[in-house]
Amino acid sequence: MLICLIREVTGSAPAANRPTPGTVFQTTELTIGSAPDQHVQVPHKDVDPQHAVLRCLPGGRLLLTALGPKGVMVNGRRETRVQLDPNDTLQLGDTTVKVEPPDPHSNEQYTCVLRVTDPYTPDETSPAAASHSGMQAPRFTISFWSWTLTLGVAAIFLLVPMGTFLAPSMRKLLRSTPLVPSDALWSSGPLHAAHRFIGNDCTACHVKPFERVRNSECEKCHADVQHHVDVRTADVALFDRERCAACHFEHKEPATLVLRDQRLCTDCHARLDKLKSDPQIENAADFGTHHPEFRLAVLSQNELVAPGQWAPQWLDANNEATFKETSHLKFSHAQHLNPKGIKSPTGERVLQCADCHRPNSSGRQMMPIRMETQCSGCHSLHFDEHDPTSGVPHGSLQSMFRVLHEHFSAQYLESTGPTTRTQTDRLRRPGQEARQMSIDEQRRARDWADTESLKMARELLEKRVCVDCHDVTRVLGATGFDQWQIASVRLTQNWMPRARFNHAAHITQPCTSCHNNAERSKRSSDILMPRIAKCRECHGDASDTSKLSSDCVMCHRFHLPQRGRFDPAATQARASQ
Amino acid sequence: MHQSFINFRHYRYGLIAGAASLVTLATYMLDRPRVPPNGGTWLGYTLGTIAALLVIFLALFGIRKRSFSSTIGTAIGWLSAHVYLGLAALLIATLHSGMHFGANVHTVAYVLMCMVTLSGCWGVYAYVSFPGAMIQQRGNLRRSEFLRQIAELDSSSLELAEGISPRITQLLAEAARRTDLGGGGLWKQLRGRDESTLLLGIGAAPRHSRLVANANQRALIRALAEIRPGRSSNEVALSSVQKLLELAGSKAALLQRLRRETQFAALLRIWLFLHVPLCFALLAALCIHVVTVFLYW
Repeated sequence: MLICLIREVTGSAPAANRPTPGTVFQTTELTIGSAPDQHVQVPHKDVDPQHAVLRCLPGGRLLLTALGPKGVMVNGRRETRVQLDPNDTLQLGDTTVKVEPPDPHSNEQYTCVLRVTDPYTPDETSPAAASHSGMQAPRFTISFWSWTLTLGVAAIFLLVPMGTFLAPSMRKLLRSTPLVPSDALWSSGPLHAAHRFIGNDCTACHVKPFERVRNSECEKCHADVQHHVDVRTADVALFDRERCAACHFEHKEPATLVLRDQRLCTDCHARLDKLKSDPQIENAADFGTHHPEFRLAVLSQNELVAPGQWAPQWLDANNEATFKETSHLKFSHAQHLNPKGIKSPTGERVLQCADCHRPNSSGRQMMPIRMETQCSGCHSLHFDEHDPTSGVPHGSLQSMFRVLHEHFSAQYLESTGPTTRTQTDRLRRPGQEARQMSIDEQRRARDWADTESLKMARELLEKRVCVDCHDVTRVLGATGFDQWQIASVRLTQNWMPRARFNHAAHITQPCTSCHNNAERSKRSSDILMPRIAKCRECHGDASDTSKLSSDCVMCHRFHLPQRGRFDPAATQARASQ
Repeated sequence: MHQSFINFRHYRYGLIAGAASLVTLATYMLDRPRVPPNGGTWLGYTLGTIAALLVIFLALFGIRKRSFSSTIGTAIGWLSAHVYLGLAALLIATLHSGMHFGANVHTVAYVLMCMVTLSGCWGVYAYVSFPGAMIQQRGNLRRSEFLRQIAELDSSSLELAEGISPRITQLLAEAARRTDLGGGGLWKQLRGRDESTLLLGIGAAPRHSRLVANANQRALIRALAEIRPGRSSNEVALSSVQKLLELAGSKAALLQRLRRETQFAALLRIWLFLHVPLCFALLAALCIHVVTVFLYW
């Protein structure tokens, strides 16, 4: 549209009160406002920078649209959207804009002609300064932003999350709806991976407000946690007020379930001699310098206390002369580890430790040594060189004797061995049954089998197979198969029951770097466990920076098996009775 | 030596805050808590309490500076303490956190504290460096004086233009009206860009008028320079145009100084729009932090 704008100043302006040439705009819409880039610029405090626009409707009518909430005064009425007719007058601040009626004598084809009349202001400020009084206050004040932010923070982080806390019925909804604030915003850190299944159900553990998490909440899942000391002893009073959370911290980073700070142990263990009167107790303050020598528990039979029973027995850690294992096994590590090799079914073979000592599936401990799995490959129980299938079972003398007897009885019957019968006796004539053995013949057969199996048993037990590894004793006055006894063999599996050792963590070391007597040990009574000095070559105090810093929990546990349930509440109740 | 809030009483509060920071830092480094350092150790609780009390003290400055009749210290002393202890408080709060951050209200409180401190630092920088710069570029003129001088230049130009032609009068009247003095919304004040415009082609139908940018009066100067005095021109008209050019140049220089002044004033104020509302948000977050930590102990 083509708009002609005639601008004039009313009053007695010295310069401007004279006919002014028109301004012609070719534009789709005419802008009105106080900003300098508006077509009709009206600098006034009541006029917005972009105040209104004027558009041409089809048919030549003009449509005025106010852009702000103030609207535009048209013919004295406040309008927001209005069609303009000739002679309509707009009031913008002190300025009037009049729609001129079409001039029939004009040559120009204007869409419309607007006459803008500004009042003459005799003061000294420039027209621009009338609207731009310098600093225009921002739309929102500091106190508006203060209230908004404060209430926003309070709503998001306190009021809405408080709903989860106060209204249990809303808990699930609030916690499960994404982007809705819940009490998860109060969490001071992530849960440990083991507890992550709890999710954001804070009240699962934080049951009572303003009270620390109680042991009873832990016990809902961890029902059978064992105590550190025997709950039947008076020592249990030392743990009266202990909370699970004193050692098991949550919501901390790095996430750890078990506190490794060794002061948790040494608070008591550094002065255990003062807390307990047991002379056996030794103090331990740290591994590198203040730790007692390793005490070993060897399996042994105490015939006075429990005949035939094997039980761990503590060795005197400071008296190496007592370091003997009585396993009743004959074994020489030196012979088996002979670097030149040892006889085997396939010839000379050089054995490695791992050929016999195999780790269990976790790699932490060694599997027990068994004849069937570790020894039988070389130590054959084969006894009859004419019968490759012959072999005595391992483990029970009675079974062995029975097998021998069966073997020689069968041999007699099948006459594969020396026999007193003639060949013709055994032949069945055509048309006749095989001949039955007479009573006499049966007795002869049994006597022969008895003699032969006894002979073989003697050879195995006293000369070549069993006796290689076992303590075989003769029973005075006994005859037949009853004359031999083999002492039962038990190898100590867990030398340090109070400590946890992980072979897998030490796999890069050769076995003999710790079990360094193995290659020289000739007797099975030798104990090949390392002493504390050996561990200290690599392991230092918890604060040691020159060695592997080793805290108590690296090897020891707090909750020990078979001590009774860890239940400080019960102890406290007992104490108060 | 001039005593400002920086060197108040020979840096008294600077030294106090520095010493407090050093002691806190040393304690933090020497402390060997059983758990990784966090707000729940004895040192954590201690530092948290100190930081919270400091935040409350810092917020009280807002009240003290408005109490003109108060005799509890001097306002400048309070400001000095506010600045230095504010910096120390951020350090103490950082150590209190044990450097553990997450998506929770505790970290929100810490972030708000950082933002309050940062905006405060900007405030200190603005208060120390802007007033001097403002005085220097303002040249002992008040804002109203600037406006009066610009108005004078405008009316002199109009008077001169009348002697030349109505078209030039109209051009100058439009230029005066469409002058951008640098005021307006906060963002515009901060940007300090000259958004003056000029309407060209007035009364030259059928040539259509058009609006052009008139930053630093460049479009006006170009338009004046293009005026070719007609055949009836004489020396007077030519010298008038010359004079108009000079006036436009002077106005451009004045406008630039005024805009810069407005910009400085806006920069001096803007940080309070962050500092104060964020401070209130921090106080709210701090209260929630303290309550919720013990609510779910």
